[in-house]
Amino acid sequence: MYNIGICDDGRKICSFIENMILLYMKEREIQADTKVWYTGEGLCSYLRQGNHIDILFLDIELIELTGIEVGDFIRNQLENREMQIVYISGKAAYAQQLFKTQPMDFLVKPITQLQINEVMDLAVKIIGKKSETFEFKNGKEHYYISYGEILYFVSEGRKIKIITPREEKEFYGKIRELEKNLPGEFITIHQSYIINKEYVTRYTYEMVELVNGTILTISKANRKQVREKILREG
Amino acid sequence: MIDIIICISTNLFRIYLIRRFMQIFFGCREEEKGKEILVYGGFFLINTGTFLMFHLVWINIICNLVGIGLIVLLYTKSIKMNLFVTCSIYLINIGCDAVSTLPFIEYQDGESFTQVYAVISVLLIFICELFTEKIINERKHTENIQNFSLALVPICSIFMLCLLIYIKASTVYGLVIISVGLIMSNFLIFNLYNMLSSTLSQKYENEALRQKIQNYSNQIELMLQGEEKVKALRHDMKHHMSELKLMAMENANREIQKYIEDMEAFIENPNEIVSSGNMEIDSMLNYMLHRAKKELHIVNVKMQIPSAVSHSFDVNIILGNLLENAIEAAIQTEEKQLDVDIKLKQGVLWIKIENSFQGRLKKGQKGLMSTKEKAEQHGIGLNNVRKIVEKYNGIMEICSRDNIFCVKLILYMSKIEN
Repeated sequence: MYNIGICDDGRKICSFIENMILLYMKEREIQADTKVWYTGEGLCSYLRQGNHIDILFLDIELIELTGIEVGDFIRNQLENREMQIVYISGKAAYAQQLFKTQPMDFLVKPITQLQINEVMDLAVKIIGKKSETFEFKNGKEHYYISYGEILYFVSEGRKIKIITPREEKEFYGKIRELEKNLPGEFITIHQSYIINKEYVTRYTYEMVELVNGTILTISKANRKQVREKILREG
Repeated sequence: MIDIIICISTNLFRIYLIRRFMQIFFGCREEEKGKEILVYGGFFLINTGTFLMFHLVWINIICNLVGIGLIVLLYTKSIKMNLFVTCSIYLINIGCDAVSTLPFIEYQDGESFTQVYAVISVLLIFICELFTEKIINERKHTENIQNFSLALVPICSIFMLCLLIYIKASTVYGLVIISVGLIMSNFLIFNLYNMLSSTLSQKYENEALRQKIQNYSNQIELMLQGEEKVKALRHDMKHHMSELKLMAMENANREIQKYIEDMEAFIENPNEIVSSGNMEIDSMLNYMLHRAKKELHIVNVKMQIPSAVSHSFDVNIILGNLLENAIEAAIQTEEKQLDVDIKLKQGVLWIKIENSFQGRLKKGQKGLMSTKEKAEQHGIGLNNVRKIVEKYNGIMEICSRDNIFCVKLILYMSKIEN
């Protein structure tokens, strides 16, 4: 079950996109609930009440509150990093700030069914991966945490810490062993760090910055390998 | 007296070579010219002076090491680097000295001997310098790689000198004159070569600049065209409105749709293919893609970059070169297809250019070469791309599958200060 939001000041556009999404869902036999807003304010107050959206189609040129501001609100005030944001707009010129809100994609109007299908495929894939769980043992108890919550792993002595936006957990283990069992969105950047690529805001050759502002060093031995991964999976 | 003249000239040449070594290790630097002259000049005076006065090995060694060390200090503050560079330069120096003098005379400390051997020594250093330059430049993938034939000049000179000394065909005076002459001609040839290559690179830069100006004028033309059309439409707006209103009153939905589509088509500029708002990159892409659209069947462009991208000059050189190659290759195929995908994600600029091609790749010395006639130019283009990609610590990958040629590359666009 996916919660999908559409926010555009053009009523026709909204229903157009909604129909295409519903068609997509019917074809793939996926359950989804769509909601539509014509203003950024409406969307923001819905989210502020603690409601949840998985995939959001957001117009950049809204009337009062712009798409950039809504994106910024979601990422920086609500601190919601999981939502997949797809910006839609009439022209292909994008402001610098948009890229800081980790958009999943951009669509230029007029939007076609094919584009919606592609975007939805990718979004469903990303969300699916995030909901898979990582299992670890601490003492005698088993714990589960979904991969989508993990920012990075850090090894400290014989323990490995799991860092999520909200908390830190730890278990006994080795980074080298852990690395083998993780899905593809995790990359080893250092002998004591494994990061979740989905939460990287900026890469440089030597460092990465994560969504919570943490800056981690990519060790010299790993730089070339990390760079190749970025190139391959762009 | 003669020895002094040779000593001074060989020493001058040696210092010139040391400067070349510095440029290999640290690159060219324009600033602090005065300081540079002071240090090199001082080194030259003291070095020559002590050598002529004392003829003592340990004084020479200390004087040289300290001198070179001070020169390196001009370029770097790292002690490790300084030690490495100083020692390796001095090692080359002392090695060449030994090779050039020991076979001919029995050296005893404190004694002076004829300086002709010093000529051979500097020529040897010169050869070493050329080879170091070649090796290091090759590793950095820069062009301007010296030809090995240039190294033949000092090798021949050494050969001639040795022969003259060995068969005792000339008096000491003659030998001295020949030595000085050889050093001078070596220096001149080298310098001329340098001047030539710098002129060439200047010419290339001029070409790039001209291309840029052309792109700009093209873009301005496009913008003017757009402006004209908007003006015309505004002028006729009243007419269009009444027309539409009439159709709406008659409930002629299809006709209204058609009418609006016509208006849209009118306002759209078929020559403006990309409009990311980034003037520099837009102008380059529009210029290149305009040609692509004319000559190719399928041109897909996807561009997701902010309107202000840093380093757009370098990005343009990359796009220009790659697109030119891609279009050139695609024209020769039946599919005539070009796909361009440019995006900025997580601080990384990601470029992918795919084109149909006629499935024959020649693997050249420096990576892939196309089968096109202007192969030389092509090589320069790709080399430039590679140089820029490396400047931003990026990486480029070239691959091909089923008649599709693909270039993928990434550049790191932002800096994180720790």
